[in-house]
Amino acid sequence: MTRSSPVVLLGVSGLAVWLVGLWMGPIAPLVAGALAGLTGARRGAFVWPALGAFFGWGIWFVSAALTSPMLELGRILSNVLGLPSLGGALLPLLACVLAGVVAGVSSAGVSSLVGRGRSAAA
Amino acid sequence: MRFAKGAGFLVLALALTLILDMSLGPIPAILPLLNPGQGVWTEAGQAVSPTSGSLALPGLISPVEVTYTAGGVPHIFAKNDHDLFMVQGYLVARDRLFEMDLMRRQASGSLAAILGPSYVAADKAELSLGLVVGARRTLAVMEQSAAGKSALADMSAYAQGVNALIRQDEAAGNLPVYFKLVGYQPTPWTAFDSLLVQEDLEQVLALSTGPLDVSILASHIGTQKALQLVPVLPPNPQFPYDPGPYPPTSPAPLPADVVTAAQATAAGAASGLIAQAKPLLPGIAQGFEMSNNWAVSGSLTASGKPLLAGDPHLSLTLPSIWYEMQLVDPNYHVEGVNFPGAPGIVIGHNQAAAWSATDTENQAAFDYIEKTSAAHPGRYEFNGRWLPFTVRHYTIAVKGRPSVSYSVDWTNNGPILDQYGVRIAMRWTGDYASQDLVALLAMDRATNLPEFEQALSVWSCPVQNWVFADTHGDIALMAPGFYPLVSHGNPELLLDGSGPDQWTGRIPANAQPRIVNPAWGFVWSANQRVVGATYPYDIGQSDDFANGYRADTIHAFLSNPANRPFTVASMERLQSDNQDHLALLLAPYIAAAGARLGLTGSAARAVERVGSWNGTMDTGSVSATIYWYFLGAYLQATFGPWWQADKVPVATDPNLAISPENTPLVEDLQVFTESGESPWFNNPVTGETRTAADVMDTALAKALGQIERAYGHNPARWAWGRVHTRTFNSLAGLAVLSRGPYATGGDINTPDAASPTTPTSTSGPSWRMVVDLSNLADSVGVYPGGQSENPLSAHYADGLPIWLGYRNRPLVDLPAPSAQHLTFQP
Repeated sequence: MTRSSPVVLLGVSGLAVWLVGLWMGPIAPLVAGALAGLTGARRGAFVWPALGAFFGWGIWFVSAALTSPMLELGRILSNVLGLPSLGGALLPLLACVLAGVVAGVSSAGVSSLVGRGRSAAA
Repeated sequence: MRFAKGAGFLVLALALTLILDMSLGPIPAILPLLNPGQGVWTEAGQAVSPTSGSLALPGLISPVEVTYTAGGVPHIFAKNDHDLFMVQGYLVARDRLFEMDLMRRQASGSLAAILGPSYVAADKAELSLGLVVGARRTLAVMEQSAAGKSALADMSAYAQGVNALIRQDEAAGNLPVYFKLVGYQPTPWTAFDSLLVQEDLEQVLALSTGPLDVSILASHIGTQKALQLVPVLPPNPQFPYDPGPYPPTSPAPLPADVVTAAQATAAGAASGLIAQAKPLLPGIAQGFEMSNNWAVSGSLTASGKPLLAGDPHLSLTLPSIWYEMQLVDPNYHVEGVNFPGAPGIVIGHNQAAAWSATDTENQAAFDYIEKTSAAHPGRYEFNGRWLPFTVRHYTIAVKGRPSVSYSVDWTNNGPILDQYGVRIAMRWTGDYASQDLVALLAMDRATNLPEFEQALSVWSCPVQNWVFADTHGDIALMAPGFYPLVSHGNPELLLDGSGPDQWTGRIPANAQPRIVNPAWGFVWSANQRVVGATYPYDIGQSDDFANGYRADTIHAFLSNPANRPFTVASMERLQSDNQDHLALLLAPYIAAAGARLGLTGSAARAVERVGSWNGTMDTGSVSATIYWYFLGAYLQATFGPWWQADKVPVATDPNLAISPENTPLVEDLQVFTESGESPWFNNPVTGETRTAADVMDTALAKALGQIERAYGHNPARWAWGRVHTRTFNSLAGLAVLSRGPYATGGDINTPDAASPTTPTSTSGPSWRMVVDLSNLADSVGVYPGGQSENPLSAHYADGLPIWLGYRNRPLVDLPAPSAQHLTFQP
């Protein structure tokens, strides 16, 4: 299998970053990307897992913002770090972007390795 | 090729994860901080703590119920002491874990481990002061008595609760945001940590640099002049709360030792080391340790039962130094405030009695010059022998750097403060055992005055003026504790460490300041000198005590029949009183100076109005602004030339600065002013001979010039609220979490005290409380802040607007848990 559905890549990465994040926190994007990469996709192996991780954490942030003063905390933290606040959304956005980048790179790496292995086996 | 590409991507992903998982200097680790599952965002979810339902708390013996009332105040109902204090530890930690950790780290000199190399000097200063040594000595004494062991058991239960909270937070990744920002995990809490918290308070309330400051001053202007400006007895008339008569003794007058320049250099170095410990963290090691308290007997109240009021003045921070709660079990039924990190209630009331404290301000620190010799390295001379220093070795962990080794030499007198030049040892009462927590827990249970005094019999340091009132009708004010005495040398200056100036004893308990049910019907203290001129023991000098103006205002209010009968409302009014007694005294002089200067226009009318002003430092008062600027200029005009002529090193010892906060100079100036003349009015630089009027004219002209430059020529814009504000700094040092500045009334001399008065006050009434012994339900209290250190909590600063508006909350005393409560299950 050299072409996985973007939905699969996105879904695996998004779900994994969310679930793994609950227990393993910071390494969740790495693990999520690796899981997506295991599907062996060659095309879109970076983009779709990256988007999956981005939205995976993004959905969590949105849901948290609806039920807690998370944006106020984002505003305070931005102030502490000397960054613009964007209504308290900058840091959550940054977290999602970082998760996406890490997951994407991880997925691309694993995907390449898995794909090579399968090619050799074939 | 594809393998290399894949491996490269993987390495890149791993590297990204690792880099984002590391903290780089002040920048925290990004991924752990920002990940949604365990990162900083959990703080948002914790902003609302559960106040109902059931929680498991392994280690409890029986279920414990907790009801929360307005302001997030927990009321704990337990079936035994162990469970009571375990839940107290748990709940206080839930709201204040980071504050607690900072306090124990400060006392143990371990702030650099979390805050980095810039705190190494502060850690060294703390280790030099010997707070850890004092805590160890206290622990050793407590382990030898039944009461001490009982208190240690309570402290251990408290620690058990704190650690349950830490474990729970760590398991859920829910540690408070501060830990995530700084990037460390709290270590388990111990009973010893509660003693470290106690040592923090001893440092704030009992440590002073008075002898070092006076020695430096003496080396510049001469010993005789220095002791004239900083006399033992306050030069102005004051009201001690224990006016005597005293036990018949006849102490010899102390000689005035001459201070040499070399000694002054050493004093400066030692003073500088102590100063390193001052700016550690706002609210912990610094502050304006002044306070008010009083009690009035039932004969003067509307209810016929006593009223008790207390407002300890400390640094005003967010979170506050105080935490309010009620503790109930078969042995305790007490409500009030405590210090996060220690069990029990410090200030409050039980079902029969109420109490509060002010700092006695007695001399607790004595400074000794130690004799050393190159011929005897590592030794000091004591009673004709060369004794080896006791060397205490410490390793200071430093975040991001290798650890630092540090050693402190101790002599028989105490720790050496200056490790580099002439060696000064400081002997202070904080380095000795003081079973304060034993006393506090017994006070919480006391139901009458004898029990209360018995509880305080083990209290040593810091000596406090404890005001007491009970439902039986007794009122009292007492200051039991450790008052060292020397029989040779002048403790106001540097003492000889080689033997003759040793502590020779202490003031006996039956001669310590105390007054019970006085005929005039009230007792009060405001850090004024607590005893009169005939008191036979040396308890401190005029620079140790407050200037007495707050005490004067309180005394005037309580003495005035027009203010009676007293009620809770009238006690609240006195706590918020902004009358400056010194302003009342100086106002006519200011108006007279204005007339002599021939002022014209609106400024002339503004100065004229000062003459009929009542000395109230309200936010809208223009007279207050003129008075305050005048006072500063008057002090400078009087003493400035002397400081200039003798090059008094204000830059290196800010305690010698000429300002309205320099207690002895202000008292001196009051006396000089009322007498009309003094040699101190002369100008030693120009040789000019001056009277009080001459200097006041100069000062007023200068003050008006300063005001006009700062606020314009229109006196309508000179309101005190534009000059004087209050700011409530974040304990974490984060400006975004601070509050203020707010325009407020008061100054350093008003019952509603503020320090520094300008540019913005950061110290003042840290807790206001009035207890009605006729009906405890009418009691009130509030502190400027909130119960939670979580900035997202509704209780982060909800007490602040109430406090700023001079209002209070009911001091709720629940007889039993209400219908909605939280239950902790074993």
